[in-house]
Amino acid sequence: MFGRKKQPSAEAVIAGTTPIADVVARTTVTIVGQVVRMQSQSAVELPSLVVSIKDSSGTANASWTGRRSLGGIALGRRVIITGVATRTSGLLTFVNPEYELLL
Amino acid sequence: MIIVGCGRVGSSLARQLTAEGHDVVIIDRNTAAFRRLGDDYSGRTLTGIGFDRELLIAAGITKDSAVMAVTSGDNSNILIARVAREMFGVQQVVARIYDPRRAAIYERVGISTVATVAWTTKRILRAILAQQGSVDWTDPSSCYHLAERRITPSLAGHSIESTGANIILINRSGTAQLPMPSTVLQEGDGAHVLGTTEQLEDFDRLLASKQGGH
Amino acid sequence: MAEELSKFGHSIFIVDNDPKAVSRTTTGNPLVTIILGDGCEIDTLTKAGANDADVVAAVTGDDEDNLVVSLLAKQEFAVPRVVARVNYPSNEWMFNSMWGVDVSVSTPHLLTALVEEAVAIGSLVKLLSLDHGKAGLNEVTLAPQSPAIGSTVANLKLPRESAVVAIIRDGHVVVPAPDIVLLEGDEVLVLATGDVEAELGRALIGPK
Repeated sequence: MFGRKKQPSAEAVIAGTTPIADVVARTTVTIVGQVVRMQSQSAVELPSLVVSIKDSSGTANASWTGRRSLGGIALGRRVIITGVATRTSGLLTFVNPEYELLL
Repeated sequence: MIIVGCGRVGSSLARQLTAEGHDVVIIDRNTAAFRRLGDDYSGRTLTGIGFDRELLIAAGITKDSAVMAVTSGDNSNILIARVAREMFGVQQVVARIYDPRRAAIYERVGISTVATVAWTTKRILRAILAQQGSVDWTDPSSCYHLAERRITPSLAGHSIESTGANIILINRSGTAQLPMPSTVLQEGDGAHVLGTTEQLEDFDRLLASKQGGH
Repeated sequence: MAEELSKFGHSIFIVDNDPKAVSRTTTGNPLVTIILGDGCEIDTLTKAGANDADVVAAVTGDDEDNLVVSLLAKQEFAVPRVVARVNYPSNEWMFNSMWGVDVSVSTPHLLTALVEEAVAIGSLVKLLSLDHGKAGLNEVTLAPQSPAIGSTVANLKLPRESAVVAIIRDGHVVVPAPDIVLLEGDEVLVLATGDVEAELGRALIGPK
């Protein structure tokens, strides 16, 4: 069968990153993906921001405690996340990771 | 201006800021510490724990306050900084952290820290006043100034070139980087800007603009 | 805590910054390792195995330290479960996900909460066993027919090896000074050694 040559994804172009599906929990990793969901918890005493990031292999969550929003983080934005994640019920979550916004 | 910790640095900050005409409250757990302020100190003092919400309210904290956490304990300073920022929405917060490794980590929860070995009153003042139109250096033969500014949410997500400003150095999470025109700015970045008075004013306007956009 | 937990087969690392405390605590238990260091430092936590730990318990006598350790454990090491001790109830509001705390334990609060748990009015309930079961903390809510109502604490006919340690009235803790008069609905906490439950019952509940 003829197949189309697969274009390298924009994510693969950034060296040193790991596809979400390959991330080993509790190791320091860098992932890159697009913000697909944002949940802001505005309770006065417990503000938090949970962001879902998706790459071609899966989805991960990044959660920031004590903030309701982060400048530049919005649906559709591509970000690089570096941190240590837990994997609970299959879902990868980073708490207060380092982030870098991409255009 | 709320200062927590009336040690050498805190008392010095309090004296300097009142001398400059600012409205200052200094907090310490120990009333005896206020002796360092001297008899001619014209600000307020408050005895208690700096991360206690009721105490901060009594100190008159609002989101427009400036809070300097300069106690002798890193952990207290972090707690004070987070309570001020997260509970009371204070934007201008600086925490003095002795341990530089810890400082980088706390920058990630959005706290501006001052973690140099030789932190001084001057350094802390510059950090806190960086929001208020100050200038660090002026070239004597031209009209160029160098100023440090904290990037606000309004400029987060914008590339440096899109701002039109000449940002020569970015301080992010404790590390300094030489940026490219395409570098994307983030909330909390420490940006060193070179420009004329007008250019700096334009940049300050951008920082203050409410349009968050993306 | 470490000795207790090791009985379940867990391996425990204890971190303490006080050299005297560390040298004082020797244990022949191969499952328990003691490390001298500041638990708020990444290097110390790494040495204590935070990278693989299932649980980090921040149980110092300092709330600020406990909060910072918890944050580091959650943020830098992705520890699945973080338990922290609250020393001052006025700080309790911070012991939550804001600082990476999954479970907080506040000893001062514990007693009040245990008592608030629907406890049958009029009967003696044993809340805690202390001192290897030799002493017990008991609670009774005074029912209308209790002989203790209207009596001062000093005049209660309590058995010798017992003492009223607290009275909970309308959600507040009342210190049991000798001249405090007991009222219907008071939740009376009594610490007693020995087998004195029958006597306590007669004094606080009424004749059987």
